[in-house]
Amino acid sequence: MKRTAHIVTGPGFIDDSALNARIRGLGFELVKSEYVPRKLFEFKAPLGAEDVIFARGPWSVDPENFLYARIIASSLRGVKTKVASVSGGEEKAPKLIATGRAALAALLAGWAHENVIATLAHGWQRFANDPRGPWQKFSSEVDPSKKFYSLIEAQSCPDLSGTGASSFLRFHDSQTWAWKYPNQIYSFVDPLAFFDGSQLDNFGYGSLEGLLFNTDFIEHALETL
Amino acid sequence: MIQYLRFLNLDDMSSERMPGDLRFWRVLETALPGISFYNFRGLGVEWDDSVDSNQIPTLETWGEWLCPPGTSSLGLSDRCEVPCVQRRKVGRYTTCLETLIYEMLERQGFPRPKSVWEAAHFETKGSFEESELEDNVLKLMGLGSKTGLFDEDSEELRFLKIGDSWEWTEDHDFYASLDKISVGELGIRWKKISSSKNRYDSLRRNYKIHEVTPAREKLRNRKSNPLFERVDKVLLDDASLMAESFDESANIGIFRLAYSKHSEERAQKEEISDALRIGGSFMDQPIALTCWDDRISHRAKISRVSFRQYINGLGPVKDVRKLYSLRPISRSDFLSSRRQESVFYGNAGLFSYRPWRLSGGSSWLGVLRGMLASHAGWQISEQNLRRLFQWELGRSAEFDLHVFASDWSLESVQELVQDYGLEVCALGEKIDSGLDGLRVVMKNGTVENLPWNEIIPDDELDASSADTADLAWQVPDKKTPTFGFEKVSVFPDQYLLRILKSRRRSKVQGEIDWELRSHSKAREVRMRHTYDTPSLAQKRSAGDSRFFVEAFKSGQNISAVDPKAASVWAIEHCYRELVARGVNPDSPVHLAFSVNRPQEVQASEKNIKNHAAFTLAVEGMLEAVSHTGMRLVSCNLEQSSNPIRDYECEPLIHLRSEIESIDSPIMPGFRMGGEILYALGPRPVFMDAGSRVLPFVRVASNHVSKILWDQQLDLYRMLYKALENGMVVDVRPIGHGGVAETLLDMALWSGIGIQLKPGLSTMELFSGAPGRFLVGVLPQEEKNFEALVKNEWLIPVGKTAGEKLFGLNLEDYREAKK
Repeated sequence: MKRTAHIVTGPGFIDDSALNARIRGLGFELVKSEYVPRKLFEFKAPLGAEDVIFARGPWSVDPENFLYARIIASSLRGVKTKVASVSGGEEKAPKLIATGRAALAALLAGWAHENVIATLAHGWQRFANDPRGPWQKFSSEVDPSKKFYSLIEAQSCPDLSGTGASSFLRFHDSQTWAWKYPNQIYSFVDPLAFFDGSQLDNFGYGSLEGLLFNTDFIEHALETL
Repeated sequence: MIQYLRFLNLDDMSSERMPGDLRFWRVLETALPGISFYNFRGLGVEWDDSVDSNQIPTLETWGEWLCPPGTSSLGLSDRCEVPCVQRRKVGRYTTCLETLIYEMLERQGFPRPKSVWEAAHFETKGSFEESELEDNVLKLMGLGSKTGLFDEDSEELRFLKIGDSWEWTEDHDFYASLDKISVGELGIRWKKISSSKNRYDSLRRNYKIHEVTPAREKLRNRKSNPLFERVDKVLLDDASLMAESFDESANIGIFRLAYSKHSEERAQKEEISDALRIGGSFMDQPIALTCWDDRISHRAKISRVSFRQYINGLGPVKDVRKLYSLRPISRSDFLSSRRQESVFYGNAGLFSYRPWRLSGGSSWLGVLRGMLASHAGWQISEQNLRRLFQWELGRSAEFDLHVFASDWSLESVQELVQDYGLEVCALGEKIDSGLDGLRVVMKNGTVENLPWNEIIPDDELDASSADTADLAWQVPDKKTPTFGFEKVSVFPDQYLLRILKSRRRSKVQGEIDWELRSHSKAREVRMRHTYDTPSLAQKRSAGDSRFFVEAFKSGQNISAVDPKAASVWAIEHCYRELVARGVNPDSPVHLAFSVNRPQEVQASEKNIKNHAAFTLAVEGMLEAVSHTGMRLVSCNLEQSSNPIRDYECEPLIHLRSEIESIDSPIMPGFRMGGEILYALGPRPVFMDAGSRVLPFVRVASNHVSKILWDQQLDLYRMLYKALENGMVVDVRPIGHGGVAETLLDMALWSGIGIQLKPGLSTMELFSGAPGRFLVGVLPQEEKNFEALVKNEWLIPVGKTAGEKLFGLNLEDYREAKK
């Protein structure tokens, strides 16, 4: 069956040729949508249950950004995300793999949680003393109904070592932050932007390319969904 | 009724920061012993008295909207509890937060607030008399921008005592009273607004310029056509290029940063990095290039440099039928700017001509009057005319008005623009009714005619275009010292260390540059070759197949000596940076030029000189364009100048060119030991103005080497060929620090030292003369390379070996750099 990857980006999305190749390699047909800053998702094609939406957005902890994600979320509420499955009956929704602001907006909009994979969370330092012990590679056990994936430093995560991530990891001001509340999303700072050193402190420039190349994330994600 | 919200950062409760210039607070120490300030962000939402308190958002709602859990919390109060100083920007929709608040309230169905303002809030700490504090703060406010507390042009400051209401008197009644004024009265007021036309304006009138050179040389006296006319002739008018200029993916974020020597460093760093972060995240574009103001300002400042293709100020109004305008957009409202650019990028069909951008520095009504009056008859609705007057009331230097001509109907423009969260106002249309003036269509359907002579000031009506502006430029006495550099030749390493330290004039600059270099998006763009400053970037476009190299430079540091040369120098330097990145000199190079305009001042001599400097800078650019065949795609001659400093002309250059591949093996540092190094290009005769070593030896120079473009282009072509066939393996343009500094940069980049050729003169090593490269050649290619290059262009410098430069370990230099 044909699967479509909808890539939702702002016009400033750079260097996506490699990303596209990678997504095609996973057996997807590509549809690209650009969002204008007011409307996050502007799909050009109807969504299928097997489809995946890749969305990105920068994120920082400033009130502006949080408010903006909320505003986008309120415009997202009307987007039809569920489609009837082929066999009829049960409705299925397309999957969303999102970074940064896009992930936050989708979740705030109440996007069907079981279909969202948000690459979020860094802030492992904050969790060093967490009673739940050191962070797991994928923290879906925090709330099994939500598949929020959290990537952590490569050294403490054997599966990810060798990806070159750790060498780029920097915490010079230890300014990463995280949500302190259990069973909620832990952070929207894009970890991969840390990995490839492409962000300022707290500056969640999600890099889908980094995501796809630095980890086996997508395979895991697609299997899990 | 007002809701005043304060953001309390959970991590950083004690952000103790002194606002403005610390020297003032030190002087006030006797009256206000131990004064210090806590700094918060504040947000005021003022509601109309008729609004019921149940109808407005509660503190919980605000918290839910604004504070990501775990990061900050909000405090809400309606009166001042501790004496404080507040600063906010003048006008409405001045920041992203304000715009978003209006939008969120509207979406959630709350009543529209009277006003929303964001303020920097400084709460006092310490024990002293409140009245004493008030007196002193008021005195400081009287001094204006110089205190660094606020920017008179676009900000306001106030002092609040205990028990004062947070409400910030804004003249709501004044806005309302506009509606009561008759259209005829509006016309009279309009007539009183004088546009920025001044006697020395060389933009729109013919001018005569005397270049008075020191006694021995003859006096040059030239007459020329208005600059605007000449620029318009070379300006590339290409629709596809215009769309591209608004494309985010084809543009990179360029920010100009300024800091103050006398303000608290930490506060400044936070101010700049917050603004960069917010700016970057709303524009969805990487912050790739930054440029630090060479002159220290009174306050830390960040401004975005935009090279979009606007007509800045009143440009030619060709065959325009209908005009529209977006609501004024503040430069610190990155979100609205981004939306406006999206409108312009995605809908090129909307325009029938390039859009105008009218800076808030001068009266919009004045400029618009000129645009409308270039038609015999023009028609506008009463409502929109009143709206223009309202906008004019809220105008400050921070705002831009975007005006565009379109053949679309108002409904379709509105529908489009609303999608982007912006408002549009129809500025009316051309009418052919024999009327020589403005026709106002009243709300009740009747019309009122205002002949142009009732709106346009008499002096403007009289001024004929035959008027000539008289300008004069006094070329400074020649200072071309060849001595005074003895110490440099004995201790080159020590002077190099000083240069290295001076490059980073403050901790703030160092830290921010470091963050940008190591963390900005630019690196993701395969920036393995980071130069030492983030003033050059390389990127791919979203279309996968095109790669761009861009360079950005300001000619400020030699403009006092020779404004014309300053433009040429900056253009040449950028060009050289492009070539060093593998750009084919014969491929099209796009130039965006911008220069600040002098304001008219009291003393006429100053005016003559300032406008001459401005004119020469533009002439320099025109000259470079005609010699190089560069394409001028954007030209902003209306950049505002800092009103508190004497005018100093500052040409800003942004060059861009396409390259075939970004995987080229050219490096800005040494590849291996044993490479033969050359300085390539015209040999420096003197220590050029702007050379970095000059301040350390206390020698003044105002020599600026002239650039011979034909020769220079030949040199570029030759270098391009040598890079193509792999003869030259690494290259870097030589900057103000001369060969010595470039060698050091390359050495630090690669960790390989240099064995210098003995007998190199200090002039050759330290002169920041333009037009030169430092190249590394493989040992086996030495003979071939020397055969290829003209002898007078080649200075052998030495070869790469060891880990030292001028006898000092690279580690020591690296240490000094930190």
